[in-house]
Amino acid sequence: MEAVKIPSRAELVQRVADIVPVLRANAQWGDQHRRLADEVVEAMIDAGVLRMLVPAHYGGYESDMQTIVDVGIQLGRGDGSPAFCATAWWAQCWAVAHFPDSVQDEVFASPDVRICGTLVPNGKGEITKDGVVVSGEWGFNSGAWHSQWKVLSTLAINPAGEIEPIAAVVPMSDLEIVDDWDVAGLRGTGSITLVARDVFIPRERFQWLSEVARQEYGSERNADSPCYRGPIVGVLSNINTGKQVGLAQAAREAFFERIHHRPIHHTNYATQAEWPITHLQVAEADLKINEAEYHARTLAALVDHKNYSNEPYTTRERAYCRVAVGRVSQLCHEAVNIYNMASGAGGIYSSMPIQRIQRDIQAISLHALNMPIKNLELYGRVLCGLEPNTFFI
Amino acid sequence: MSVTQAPPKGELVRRASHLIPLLREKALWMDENRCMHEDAVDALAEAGFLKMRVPVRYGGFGSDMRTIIDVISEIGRGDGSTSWTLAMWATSAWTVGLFPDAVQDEVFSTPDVRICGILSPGAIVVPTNGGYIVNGKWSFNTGARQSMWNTNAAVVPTADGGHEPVMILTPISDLEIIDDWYTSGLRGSGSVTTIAKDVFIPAERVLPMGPVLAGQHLSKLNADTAIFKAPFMPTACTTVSAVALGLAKAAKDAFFERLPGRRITYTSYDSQSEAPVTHLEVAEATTKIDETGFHAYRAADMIDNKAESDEPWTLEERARVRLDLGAACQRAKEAVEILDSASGGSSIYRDVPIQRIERDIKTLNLHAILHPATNLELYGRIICGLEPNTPYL
Repeated sequence: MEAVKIPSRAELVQRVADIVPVLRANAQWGDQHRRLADEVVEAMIDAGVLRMLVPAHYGGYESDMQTIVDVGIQLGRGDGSPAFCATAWWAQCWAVAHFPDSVQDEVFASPDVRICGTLVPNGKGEITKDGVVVSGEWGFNSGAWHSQWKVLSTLAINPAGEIEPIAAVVPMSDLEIVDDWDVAGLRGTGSITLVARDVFIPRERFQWLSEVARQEYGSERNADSPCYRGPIVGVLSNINTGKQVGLAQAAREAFFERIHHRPIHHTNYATQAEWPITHLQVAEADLKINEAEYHARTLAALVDHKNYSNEPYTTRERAYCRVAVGRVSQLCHEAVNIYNMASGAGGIYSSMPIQRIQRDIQAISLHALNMPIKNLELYGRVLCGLEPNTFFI
Repeated sequence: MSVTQAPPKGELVRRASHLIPLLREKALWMDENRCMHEDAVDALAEAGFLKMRVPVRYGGFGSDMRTIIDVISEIGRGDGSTSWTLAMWATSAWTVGLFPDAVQDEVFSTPDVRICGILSPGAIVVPTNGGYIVNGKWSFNTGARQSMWNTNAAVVPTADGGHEPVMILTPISDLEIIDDWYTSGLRGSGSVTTIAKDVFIPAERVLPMGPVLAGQHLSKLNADTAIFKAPFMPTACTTVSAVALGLAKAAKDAFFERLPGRRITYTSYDSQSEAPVTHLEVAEATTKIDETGFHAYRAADMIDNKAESDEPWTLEERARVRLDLGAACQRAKEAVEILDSASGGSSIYRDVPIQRIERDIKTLNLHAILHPATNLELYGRIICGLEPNTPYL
């Protein structure tokens, strides 16, 4: 096992800030080709992005949540699609770190491994005496083109005779690819559909959801690592926030590049910078970005505190995890809308970042975990003293 | 002069929380009688809140800005007018700390002295032997009838025929009071009009406003004290942002107090707390209240940190405090409006707190220095590279 020095938070963030130009240079290519450019994936590997939630035993960094937010912001500043893929890969590294150590030895043989996957159960699994045989198809596998493994979720009959979801890790070589990723936003993520036909998965490579929900994990080595403490809602919500703040910051950067030479056509204003309407717009967008980052930081502080103290979450705190990421989406989407609508018709060319940022932030806001209204409803239920209406809390 | 040991920060907040029931009980009386109840004034003094911004050598606490936000917002949970009046008294006591030390000796010789204050110049000051003669009129003089001194803005004619703004300090007994405080909101603040007719002011009680706004103070003894290193406008603006935070929290308290057992009339909901519409409303209001706090405390931390580090203020930072104030008012108002509109027809009775809270927050948002649009525009100008369009920052 190679001995890896874990970079400091500042060092890691600087490395990722340094690859922002690479991400920006490839953004339009990714948008047109509906997948990440190899150069982008390599840049993220070199910067250490993909090791952040890999166990330290395998050369990973086991980063805390504030660092994840920092790095997410830089990736989002670069381009929405690689930022989104990083989130998806982080999530699955975190998930696999709960599988038995022998499974991890295989999957994390390279600390820069890419594992794609989704949470939504689909298809079915037939339990056999030494594993499960799975058939089904799963959409939205972000980063699949550059992944070696996939985590899938399917339904099987548990030992008590009930239908229960399982999560399983499978090599990409066992799956068929359906390239259906022709979409409005996050086009560069290449979030294609993957199909399993009677794929055998050995017992140690799957977990029952009830075990995960009880935080009974297969890994002995990671059992005491703060990085891998649950519940999953804390980590999954947290890894989603930074990139959205970063995308809104990218919109701000793109906007300010143009205001000093852009005229406001059909008015007397010589430049956009001197137009009082612009002043209201930039101030309002700015405070929304600041508020979004405030929620991202508050959430990260909560999850880090829980991880390091091992204190249990209250239901209200779990619900806050959801509303924080929902409000981040809402505020960043609103901020980007302001910049986009203030960018004029010149902003709609495919070569202009603002139109892509607008499509990307909208796609992110529609994701089931981010969708603001859903998260607000859940938080509101809990504030009103009702039970949560979702398992995912 | 005896030096009082300032109570620890947590103790001051506990005292403020302890006052909430009294303030809520007197709120309707204050709303109807258009001034603060004597019991409320006494309670503020007894809790030590009138000492918070008094220099330590006069028995004051020299409280930092975070403590000010904590206490004034907590008082605002009890009553908006009391919170606003306390904010004025705290700010004006601090303003007296900018005057020459001999003036402070006189004013602060009265323990728990109450000093009201006005920022907009409503009078003309003319030089005479040993001082100045002032004539003029100031509206919106919060708490004047319950104050002993008044800091007031005025202008003094200059040699070139122009005017220079000054801050003057007068005993309230020198001023005539016109009770014109018949308003829709903050009624308990008794913000009456005061008139000066040929009032003599000794020279040392006239402070040129230019250096005050720039942060150059005349007091020698206060020069090295942390709280007096902050410039005038950021200090005043941050102090009043606490009122918005307190009112927003008050609305949430008021809403949840009435929620149990409330139905939604003419619908099939037996309980408002079970309606998903309610969940969206309370979640949205709660996140906006959190954001109000973010803005108020961001500004407070900026002031406290700069006092600690002695770093100079940039124009952008001064404008950001104005932005934070505007944003705090805006988010608080949005939160209150959501909760107010969810409170039903029965909430318009005068003894139901939410309708008063709604009138108070609206009034706060109309104040020339607090108005969100004005503050957003100012910050927007600065980040677009323009000069500020006001000296008040």
